Amino acid sequence: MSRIKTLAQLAPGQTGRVAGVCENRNHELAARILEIGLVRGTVVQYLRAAPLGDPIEVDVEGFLLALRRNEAEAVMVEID
Amino acid sequence: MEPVSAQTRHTGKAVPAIVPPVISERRSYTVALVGNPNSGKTTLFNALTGLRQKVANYPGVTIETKTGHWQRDRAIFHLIDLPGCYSLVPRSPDEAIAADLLLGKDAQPPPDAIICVVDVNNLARHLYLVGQIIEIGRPVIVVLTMVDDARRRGRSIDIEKLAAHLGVPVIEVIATAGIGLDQIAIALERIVEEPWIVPARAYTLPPALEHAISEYAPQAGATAMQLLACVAGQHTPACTAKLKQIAGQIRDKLGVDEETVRRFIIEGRYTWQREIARAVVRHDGRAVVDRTRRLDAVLLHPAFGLAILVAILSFMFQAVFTWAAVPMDAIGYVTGTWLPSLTTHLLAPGPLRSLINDGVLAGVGSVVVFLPQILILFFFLTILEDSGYMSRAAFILDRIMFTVGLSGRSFIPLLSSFACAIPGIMATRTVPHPRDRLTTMLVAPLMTCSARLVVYTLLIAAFVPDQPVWGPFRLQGVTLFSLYTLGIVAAAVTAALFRRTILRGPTPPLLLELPAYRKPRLRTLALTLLERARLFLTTAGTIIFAASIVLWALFSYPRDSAHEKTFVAARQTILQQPDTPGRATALAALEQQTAAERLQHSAAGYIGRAIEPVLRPLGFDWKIGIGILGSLAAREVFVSTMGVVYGVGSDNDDQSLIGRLKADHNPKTGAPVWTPLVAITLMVFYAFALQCVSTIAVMRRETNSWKWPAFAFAYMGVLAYGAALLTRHIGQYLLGPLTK
Repeated sequence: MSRIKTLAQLAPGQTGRVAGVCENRNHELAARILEIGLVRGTVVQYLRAAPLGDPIEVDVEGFLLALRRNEAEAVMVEID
Repeated sequence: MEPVSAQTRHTGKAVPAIVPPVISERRSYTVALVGNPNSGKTTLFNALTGLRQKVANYPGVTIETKTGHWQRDRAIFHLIDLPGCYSLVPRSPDEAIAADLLLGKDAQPPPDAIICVVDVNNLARHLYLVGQIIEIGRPVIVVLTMVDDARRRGRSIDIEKLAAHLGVPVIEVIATAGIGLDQIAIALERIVEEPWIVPARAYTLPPALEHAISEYAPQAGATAMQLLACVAGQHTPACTAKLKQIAGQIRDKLGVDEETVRRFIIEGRYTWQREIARAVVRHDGRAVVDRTRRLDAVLLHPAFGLAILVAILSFMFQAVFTWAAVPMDAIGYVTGTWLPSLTTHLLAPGPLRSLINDGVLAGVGSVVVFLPQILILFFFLTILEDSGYMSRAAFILDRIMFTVGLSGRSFIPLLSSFACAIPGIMATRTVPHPRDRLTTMLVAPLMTCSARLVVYTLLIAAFVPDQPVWGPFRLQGVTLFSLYTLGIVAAAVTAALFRRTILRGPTPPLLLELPAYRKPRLRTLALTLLERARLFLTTAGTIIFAASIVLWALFSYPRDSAHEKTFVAARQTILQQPDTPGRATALAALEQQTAAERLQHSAAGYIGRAIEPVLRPLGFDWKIGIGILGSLAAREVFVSTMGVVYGVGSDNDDQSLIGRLKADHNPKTGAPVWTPLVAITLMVFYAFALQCVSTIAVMRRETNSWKWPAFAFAYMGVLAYGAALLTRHIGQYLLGPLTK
């Protein structure tokens, strides 16, 4: 039984698999998120939020990426 | 950048059997170095070229590409170090430059070969760019870096397998130890001489799209690659009207739009590269990531993270001020005391001595004196950048900067501007987005720099009473703190304003790589500092120097001949007296009086009186006008100019100057020229005005145009005048008749 959340909604340490990037808000942003490696099937782990709450740090298959919550909300993640 | 002509290639192949290669007939090739940010590209470039490199501004923009020579026995490689990029579909000016240079736009031929640099610890990710580079169809070699780091952690790569998968040569290097560099040369010579076979597209697309492309491509008269680019809406020059029409048909048939096709391509590439990485990596390299993640747990900790950052930054600024003090004093002594006394001995008093002492030496001094601060600041910034911490600082501070429309990357340049706007503006190069960078540069001079502090110290000591305000806080300290706050608030408000008006645009998304931590390298540090010093002295330094000479001329000429004669006569009279301490005092008094009178007759004096009507609404007289004018060389010059105007000498202590200021009265009304309100108004004016040719020169250097420094000068001038006027009126209203 799997659930879909946005990347911004994961708890620290939680791992998921990218289900897709929401394209209806901003195509340019979606393309950039895809190109950085958040394509379907990629395993991501939410590591932590910055001390001031935003942005967040995630592990994308061994690559550490910082992105704002606004961007992370466009990334749909499937949790096992 | 000379392309290898067809003839060179021909003789290159035919000759060697008969004539052995001669050193003087080395062939030359242009080779582009491209790779992801943090891929070790610059380290490789430094290892190949050493000091034989120069920074070249790419026409029209502010991003620089470095070029350098790599001399080998049989060939000279002209290396171009392109800005780091993640993708060839340009999303930033950096990436656009890389793409343009690799594809050979603007009548420039494409490079003879491309070296694609890949961090072996990030193979799966970095192969994305590799895939795009290979598709360009130029000869490519892939160079794997950070190999030693990976080996130490038990990670290794089957490079033969990787080369077979990619269809291009793959070479492992340890750039700092010089290992693998020979193989690069051999591979380069081979790929530029032999016919290059372009590997076919390696990644796969959904079957329906795959099928449609191969079906339509022949009738469109294009390659499958060209047609695919058209279907994805990437309008390359090969994308003709006919091709666009066919591309539209394909999209309609499959019921997809351009964005979806682009997503297919990106997903196809990632599937391909992750499969390759799985096939060729012998051992997983999680250890590198794990070490970095452990460090992040501390350095980005909700509470400690911020505390550590504050500690690092405080130490850095403490060092910039304290470490720079000694060399700055030394430079000041050499150019301000030692050399002038030397010329005073060698030359008779007159225009030449004055030009050398007050013009040339003062000019050189005002340039070189900035160097210690710049070098110390960049010493720290380079270490922070090279170790991987700089991205973390941007990560922690992004939230604050986001509120004014900037990103975390702008914080350090702005903070640096508290020492001096010059290194601050130079540090904006770490800001990746051009609108963010320009905004940062425009507001950086609003931060209270150390030169303003000198002016504030004098005026506060003279006119702000030292009385308690609340608890341990006293009025003088509160005033100084308010002035700093004023600068910060003004910078935040104008930054937000610029991002909504002249530099409007969507806030660029933050997709920031947090690279693995590593030890900073000495070589990178040394080369960066050398380059900074050279850039500052040659480009900004020349403008600052010229401006200092012009200001000297304005303050020295013209002279009133009748007055000069009186001075010479008076000097002779004093010199005929016996040599007593009284004679020396009288001589000094005469010199000071003459300097003050000369200044009145000089162009600066005339300008000061000419602009007095403009300054009158602020409560300033022409003497303050001269001070403001003199501040254009550097703000702290205000104090020494006031010293000359008030006849106490330029290097006298503040106390005698303060006494003269307080005693000065308006000859017509009898009211004091200097009141606390005048001092406060003047400080507010200094807080905002861009009275610093050095800052203007550096801004010109960094933006590659006079437009932005001119704009900064204008907007800060208007702001300064407006704020000073407001301060005066509010002050008069609050204080009532007291100040009238």
